[in-house]
Amino acid sequence: METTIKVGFELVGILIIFLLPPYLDGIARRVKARLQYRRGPPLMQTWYDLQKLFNLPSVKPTKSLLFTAAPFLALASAISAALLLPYGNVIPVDFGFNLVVFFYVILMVSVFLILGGLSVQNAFSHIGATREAQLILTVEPLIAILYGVFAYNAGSLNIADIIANLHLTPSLVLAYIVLAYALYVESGFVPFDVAEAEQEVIGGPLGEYSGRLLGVFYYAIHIKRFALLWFFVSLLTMPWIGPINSPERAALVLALQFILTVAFYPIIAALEATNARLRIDQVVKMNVRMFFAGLVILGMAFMGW
Amino acid sequence: MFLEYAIMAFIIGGVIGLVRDYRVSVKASSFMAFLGSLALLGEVYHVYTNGPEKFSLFGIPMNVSGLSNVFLLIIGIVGVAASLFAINYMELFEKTGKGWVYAIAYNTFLASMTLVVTVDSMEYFVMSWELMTLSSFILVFFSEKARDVNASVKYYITMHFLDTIPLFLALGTAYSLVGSFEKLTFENIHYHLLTAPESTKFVLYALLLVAFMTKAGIVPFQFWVAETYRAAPTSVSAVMAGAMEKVALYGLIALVWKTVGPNTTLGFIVALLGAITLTVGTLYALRETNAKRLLAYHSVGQMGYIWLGIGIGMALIPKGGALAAIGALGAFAGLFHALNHAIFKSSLFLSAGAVEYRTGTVELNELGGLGRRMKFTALAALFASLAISGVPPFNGFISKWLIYVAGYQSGNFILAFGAVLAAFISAATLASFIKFYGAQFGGEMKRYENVEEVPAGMLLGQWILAGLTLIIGVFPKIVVPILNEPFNAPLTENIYRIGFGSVLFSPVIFVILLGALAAALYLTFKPEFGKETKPWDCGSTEIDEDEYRTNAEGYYNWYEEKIGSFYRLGDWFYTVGAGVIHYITRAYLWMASYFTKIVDTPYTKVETLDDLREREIMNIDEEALKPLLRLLRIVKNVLPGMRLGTFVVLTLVVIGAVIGILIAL
Repeated sequence: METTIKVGFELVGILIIFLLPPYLDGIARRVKARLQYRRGPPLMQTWYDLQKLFNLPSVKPTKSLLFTAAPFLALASAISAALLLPYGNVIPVDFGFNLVVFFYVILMVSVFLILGGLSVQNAFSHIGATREAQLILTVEPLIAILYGVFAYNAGSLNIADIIANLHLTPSLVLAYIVLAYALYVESGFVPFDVAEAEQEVIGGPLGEYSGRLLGVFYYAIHIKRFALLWFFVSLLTMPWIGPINSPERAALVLALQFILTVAFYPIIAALEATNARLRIDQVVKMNVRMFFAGLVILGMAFMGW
Repeated sequence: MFLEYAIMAFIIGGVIGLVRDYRVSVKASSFMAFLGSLALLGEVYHVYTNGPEKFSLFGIPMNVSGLSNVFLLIIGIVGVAASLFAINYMELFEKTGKGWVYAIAYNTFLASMTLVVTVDSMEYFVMSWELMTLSSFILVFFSEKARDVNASVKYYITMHFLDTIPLFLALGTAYSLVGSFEKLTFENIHYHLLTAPESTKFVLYALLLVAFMTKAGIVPFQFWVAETYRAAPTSVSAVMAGAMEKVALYGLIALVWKTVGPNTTLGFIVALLGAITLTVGTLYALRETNAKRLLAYHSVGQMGYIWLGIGIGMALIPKGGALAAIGALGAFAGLFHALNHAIFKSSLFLSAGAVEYRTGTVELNELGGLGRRMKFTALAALFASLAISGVPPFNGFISKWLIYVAGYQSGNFILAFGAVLAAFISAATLASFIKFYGAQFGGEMKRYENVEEVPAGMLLGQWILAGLTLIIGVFPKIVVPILNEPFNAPLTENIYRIGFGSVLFSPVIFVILLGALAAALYLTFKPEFGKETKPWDCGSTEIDEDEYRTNAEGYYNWYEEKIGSFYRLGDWFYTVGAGVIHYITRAYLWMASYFTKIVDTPYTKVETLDDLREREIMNIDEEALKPLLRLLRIVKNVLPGMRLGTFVVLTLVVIGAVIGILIAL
């Protein structure tokens, strides 16, 4: 009985990972349209777009094998990271349920995006790739500080332990804010979409990708954004709802996670619709400032506040 | 026994190099070095299965402990790969024509490092250490280009002042404690130190710490590293970065920690030094565009990680209880990272050497598009780059991650801050190696269209190491028992996972998952290509396709500008350091002025090192022996011209004189 329930949760989790992300993008597009007094496309629109791309052959700008392999590796990394998250109280594939492993695996999506972009001889791809690298370079320090705050607060880097032992302090509240900011930047939502900026660097690292390969990359990016949001929602809610000791409770938590994930997307979409893209130097500057603010938060955490 | 074989192989390698032909000389000696390194690995296996051994090698007391074994493993792996690589690579320096210099210096270098980590006597430790410095110095100026010679002189002077002098003073202090050169074993010194006053301990800590910091390139003594590694032949840089720096780590653990004794404050200092070093080294590496200098600064940075780990151990192990467990984890992670760093850094140096072998340059701004031409080198460089950046499932991830775990869970602000910096710098390392890889192998360039892959021996050298980054990353169990012997960290580990307490990671499951997903996705969305085109360049017709890319300089200029004040501070320190070195050099020259004389223009003032190098000079010993030399030269010139008759007369005169003297007596 236990295992059947577990497998059930795993299956639901896997279904969510594969099916939900493009819908979330659909929601965002609808919300953005409404904010601009348009009707907006159907919720399925992102799926239609992906389907169309999957059916098109790709144009080949280089013979590099890395160019072809990168989208698949990126998608595989995104799915692996998403599989490491809790759905209810079940982790579909537990290969290391701790903060560092999760963030590194999700980082691999960006790594393969950059490598794919650098494998073609195209200045725009290269500019986009280096911008993506600079985003990583400035967001990782924030995440490094968050490891510190959470690990000190809960005494472990293991996410299950963190969820079980977290206690509410002012520094934790601030850490949540920094976490939200860091994840938003890492997802590359609008003011921070400098790497793929269509109008500026014609898609950046994605510039030379087309057809099926591009579809795979888009899918990977959607899943990555979903995984980061799901991680945030889990870390936000699960420590405060007490131990999950029955399947019913787990189902309830899963529902809560699902609803909150869907509910957060309109907020993100609203932020996206009301902001203009920053320049890369502004992004770098903001992130460096956040880093120093983060250090203060870390100090607060160690003083027990 | 294997250790004897290794030393013998190194000796034969040195002697064999005396043959006249350059190619034969470097090839044969590199091959003997390869065999010697293999013997070292044999010794590692022997000690691992039979336990530590003490014996006497050619009269030198040896103690191959669990700790020595870790470092023998490092020297062995790096030696095997770099020597294999050198067999072909050293052809580049054929015009110097001095194969024998390389042969003797390279083999001595490997042999002396082996001795440093195995001898059981402070005296022999210092002697082997000096031999290591001297032989590496010779290798650094092997190319004989002016810039390289300058770098090597700077290296030697730095080592002399900050390494030799403190070590000899420490040797003297130890001697004054023990009172006999025969009994200067580490154990003995430790025993005598137990009753010694605190001030003696303090002196030893300070002296030894300075010596090992300098050799490891820890801030503020990192200034010699970049130019030295750039100047040395790349296969030698690989050994220097991979193995020589680790020897300094051995010194830190074996002498400072184990012999002088653990000290919590010192542990915090070491950890803090590590944290500062990893930040400074890596951020400086970020803006480098010379592949070898970039790698050199990363060695500085990665040594910082290792010192951070060891520092955590030193600080927390004396505290006992749960903290001691975390401390042991930190120390273990530091050692693990030392091995990993040796593997991926040597691999990266060898890749840079392969590129240099085919294109003649290591300047990243000029390179590009080699990925298609040198497929295997490119893949090896990619593996090692991902490993050093700490991307799972490569080996660098596991050791870095364990350092983070130890730092974050220590509950101490300094150590946690060190871990924050470590995790942050990991991203900087990634960015830097994206540049390293992208600038050399990314894109396609007409300029390098005819470049070919390097010979098989060089590829094998690279792939031994690049393969190990993945193998150790997926199955850390292979090396963990050897590495864990000195500190006995309470790891949770079995064949498919590794970790500490509840913080675990299963590289095997991860690799299977990632591989299966990637393969399944590939089969589902099998890439289908329509037409082949050139990359889109906005319809420009005038553009030079080779220039249609971001060159290495342009990668992170925004970021570098934003953290400019950091670089300015660092540069200021660098200026101060350079000033100090300048005055030390002047002091040397002042001393030298009493012992040398410039031959062609006797009253020239010696002001720079170049004066000594470029003019014909005469040392004081030459001057003293000059009459004799002159006589010998005359004899040499006159003798062949003499007729038999003259010779006979001269002989008769000499014999007559001798007989006359004898009679007179």
